[in-house]
Amino acid sequence: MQHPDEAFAKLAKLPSIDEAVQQYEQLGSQIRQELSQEIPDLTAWKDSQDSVGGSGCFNEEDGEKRHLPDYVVQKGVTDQQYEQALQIIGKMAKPIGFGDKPQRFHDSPGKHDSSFFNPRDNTTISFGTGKATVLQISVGCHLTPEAKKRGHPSES
Amino acid sequence: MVSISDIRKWNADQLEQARSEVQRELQVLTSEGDEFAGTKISEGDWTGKSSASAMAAHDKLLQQGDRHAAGLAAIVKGLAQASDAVRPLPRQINEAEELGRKYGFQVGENGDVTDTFAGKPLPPDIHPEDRERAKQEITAKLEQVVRTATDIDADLAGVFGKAGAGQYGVGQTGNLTTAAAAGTAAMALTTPDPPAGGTAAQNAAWWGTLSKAEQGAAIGATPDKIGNLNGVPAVARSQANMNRIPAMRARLMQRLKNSGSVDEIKSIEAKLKSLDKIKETMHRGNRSLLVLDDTHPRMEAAIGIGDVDGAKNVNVFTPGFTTTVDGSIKGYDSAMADLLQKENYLNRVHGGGSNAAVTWIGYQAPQADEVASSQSVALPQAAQHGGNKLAGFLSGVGVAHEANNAPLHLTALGHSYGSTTTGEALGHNTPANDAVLFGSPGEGWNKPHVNGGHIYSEQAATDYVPAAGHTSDLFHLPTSPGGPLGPDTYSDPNIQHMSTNIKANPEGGDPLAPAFGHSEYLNNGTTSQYNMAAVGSGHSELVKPETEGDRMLRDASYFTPGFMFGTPK
Repeated sequence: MQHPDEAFAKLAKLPSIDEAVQQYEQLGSQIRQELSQEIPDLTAWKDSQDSVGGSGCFNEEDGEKRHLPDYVVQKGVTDQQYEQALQIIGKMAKPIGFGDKPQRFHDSPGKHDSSFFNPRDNTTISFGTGKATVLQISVGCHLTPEAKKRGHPSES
Repeated sequence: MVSISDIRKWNADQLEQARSEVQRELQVLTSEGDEFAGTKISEGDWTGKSSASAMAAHDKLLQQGDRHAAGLAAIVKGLAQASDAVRPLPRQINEAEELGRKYGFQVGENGDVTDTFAGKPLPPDIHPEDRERAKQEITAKLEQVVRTATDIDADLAGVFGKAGAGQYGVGQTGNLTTAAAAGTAAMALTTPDPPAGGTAAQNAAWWGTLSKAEQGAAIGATPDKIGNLNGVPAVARSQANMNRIPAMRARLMQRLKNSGSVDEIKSIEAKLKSLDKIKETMHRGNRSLLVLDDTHPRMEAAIGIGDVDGAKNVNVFTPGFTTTVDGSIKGYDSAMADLLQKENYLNRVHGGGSNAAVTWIGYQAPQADEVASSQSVALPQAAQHGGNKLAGFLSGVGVAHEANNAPLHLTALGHSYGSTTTGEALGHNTPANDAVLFGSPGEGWNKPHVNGGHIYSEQAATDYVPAAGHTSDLFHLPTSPGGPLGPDTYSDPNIQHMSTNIKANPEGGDPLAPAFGHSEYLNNGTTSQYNMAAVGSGHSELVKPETEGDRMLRDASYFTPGFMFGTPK
């Protein structure tokens, strides 16, 4: 287990949670745009309008994880289109630290679940298809703007 | 005592009509009475014997008027409250009848319950344990309807009795409007207390017999009575528990001032810190405070995320050894939020209903400094006691769904010693449909079982806690499986083992999503968490089962820690 100061120092090198959310919202938007362009079935993206919101991390005081709303197309895609979509997402996510190969949780004809993982900040991009196709981004642990400004862990 | 057939004839509208008529009479009385009081003969206006007599008669009439006005006002209030209070009763009887029709019971005119499947086989879609619970709920509803109705009847009869005996009123005031106000202010109907030691079904039935006004008053005025009551709706429990926090904090502060021993001070300080952590967790939003109990050495609490009473899929998570509210609730709430987000994702992709999750620390989880006590992590007592309480909580979730006529798929999740507590709970007749015991040192001694689904287990590489539970298996010893905390999950043939994606050399090769050791099962993005989300969201078809290769590598990990296995960072 890392010492709290060490863990804080590691998180301090990352953007604050607000900045990270902005960055990942932008990435999500670009991915959806690219998917729409390349796979015509994936055009009618709808914001799920809900999420469980934020949750704590790093002593539960100074850090925050944020679940962005899911984006949903109310139809599944073919197995071939799904593979194509994974390639697109991997290619776009790689420059900011994600592995270009996803973790494949489920694969059966017409049903797939995979996640791309960013080891820099533990953010995951989940992409699945079945009855619908969903893109989900869960932003990993980043310091709150207050903690980042403070520059050291709070006493909890 | 009133009967169900009496109550069936009760008519709230007639009570309201009677109230309206008495109110009109009261208005006439106060208006004319006050005018009459103003005509009081003053000494000097009229002197002599007949004058004194007239003044005495005037006073007497006013005294009578005072009692009548106050009595009528009390009756008006009593009728209004009774009219409001009886309205939920027929609805409760209807719900009991409806539930009876669903599960093959008939509610007779006088509330007798008969089994319409007696001597016949049950239809395949009715589970006998569900049916047994339904019968208990029907009986509880009818009992509580009679109990509340008897209370209303007695209270209203008391008001009439007191009014008839002239026991309301403020004495001679010369003002009947004031007398009527005193009658209105007097206590009329009281709300019956929750059933003593009630089950979730009885508590829910009691709550259902109260009017909205009575429920609101209970949340505001007597929150201690309902905050921890299984079967009462989550929203009401949460409001009540939040209302309890200021007084609880003040009491603890007072005790802190008067306490002398170091242990007591530490305990109170931890409870005060627990209240802070609870408030911070609640502040995350979309949360409900379902348990709040400071009467034990350590604070107990449970916090729900989402609509715990209405969501299709509800997950109740029980953590284990060293868990405290002050030290653990925020972290576990975060883990439940992550799990819920994954479940929402799965249900969007693959279809399914809404999801909710609860972090349940409603028991005294063993602590490191209790190893030598009866609360020891090596003994089943704390799990057995906690399991009884958890079973009640799970029943409350089931009953609340029945009350909302909402379908329920309930999953019990237990980690470490919390899996033993969960196993003990599942030995009772609970509405749980699935369970996941992970990092489990033993499933308890209560023969855990679920309705319709499965019990699953997860065991990660280098997690020595479950390994300790099945050393006989690990070393192929001819001893009976399991340790002091019950059979290990690997010796129970009814338990299905899910993958935690165990692989050697995690630093290189294919992208991995493994969980390692005892504390990574709920980490976001792991196969372990995915599997739990699949079970919890009702998609067990997505579960990645443990392979023989997984099992071999895991067993090898106990002998080569840190060499081939470890947490990739």
